[in-house]
Amino acid sequence: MSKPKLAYYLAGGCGGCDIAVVDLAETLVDVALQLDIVFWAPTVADAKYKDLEAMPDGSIDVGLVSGNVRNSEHEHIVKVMRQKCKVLIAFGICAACGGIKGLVNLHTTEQLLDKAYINTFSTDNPEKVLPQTTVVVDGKYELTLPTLMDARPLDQVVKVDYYIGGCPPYHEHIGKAFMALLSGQLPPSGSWITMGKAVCEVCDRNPVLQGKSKKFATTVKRTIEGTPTEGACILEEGYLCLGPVTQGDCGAKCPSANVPCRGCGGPIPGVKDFGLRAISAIASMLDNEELVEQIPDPVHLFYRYALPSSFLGKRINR
Amino acid sequence: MKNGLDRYNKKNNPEGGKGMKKIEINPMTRLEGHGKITIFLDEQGNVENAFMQVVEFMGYEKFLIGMPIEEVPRTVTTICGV
Repeated sequence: MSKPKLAYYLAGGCGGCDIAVVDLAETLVDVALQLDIVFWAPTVADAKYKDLEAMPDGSIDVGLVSGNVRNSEHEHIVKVMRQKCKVLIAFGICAACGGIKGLVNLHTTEQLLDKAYINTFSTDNPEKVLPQTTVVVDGKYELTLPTLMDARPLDQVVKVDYYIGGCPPYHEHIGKAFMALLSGQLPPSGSWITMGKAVCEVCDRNPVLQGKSKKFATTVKRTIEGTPTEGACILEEGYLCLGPVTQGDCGAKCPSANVPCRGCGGPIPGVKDFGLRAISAIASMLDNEELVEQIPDPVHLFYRYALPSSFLGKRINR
Repeated sequence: MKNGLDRYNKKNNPEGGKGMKKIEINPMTRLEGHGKITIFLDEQGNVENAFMQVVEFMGYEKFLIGMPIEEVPRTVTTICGV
């Protein structure tokens, strides 16, 4: 029997998910020996987009896409990936929900370009040159760039078979997911690959796991205003932590380092709109309504990783 | 170098043809971030000009505005995760 073929495409991401795969270390050696990697661009292998386009449809067993869909080139290549791959996985929170880079949907393309290319303190651009989709240099060299679009998670562009959360996915979880993939023990199509527990359920600081009950937060604090007490629940002390609604396949790594969870793991099973669920969860854990006013910068907190996949999707400028 | 490009050009432009030829190497590989190289060849098949483009734009300069300062370090790590 020939080895299963794997393709990996990094769309609008940062390459952190690729590095997380490399973090598998010894497990990667076991996994890689069982796989035939036919495409991994741009980070790892040398195959070009043309090479992927030339492969027969449905010839690749598993395709991973990390990063969101942010421009016309991403859109084209993820459609090609869908044609070529039998199983397509949204790998990491950008592909699954939009990710941090999905926060671009808070602004229009014009506002983003204006800030980056014209109105930044350190930018010197008196002629106000902006990136163009087509430009002809010296009257004869025609160069092109992809068209920028709002950020979209993968499933708003093509059908997605599985989702894996995390920014990046935790390497031990990737190992388990790959093993499940290779042995064919996968959940129904359209599912998240997760153990199904929230960060709180695997967090050593959770009072419920210590036989105590969870108390309401009586203040809202920023992490520059103090340090969470060692071993105590971060959320109880008023540092807003999204552990209750976030998949805990990471093993609660941030809370164990005294840092509140920000929701990169994606929504716990049964939740479609992460931001909405996070707002509801935090609201229900605050002692009184006045505390809501003290939440700093709610959109960057509740929608940090999941704005494009939320019901809101983006800011509408009227 | 020239022979290598000629071979690449024959493979990708079997028609050959007169005038300037354009070779696109897309994407640049073994790095994070999306880059593209466009090479223009003259009628003799020599390199006339070449361009490297970074084809992506993110927008952190704008969407970070308003975020509490202590949240910024863990957010901007996603500019490049390699």
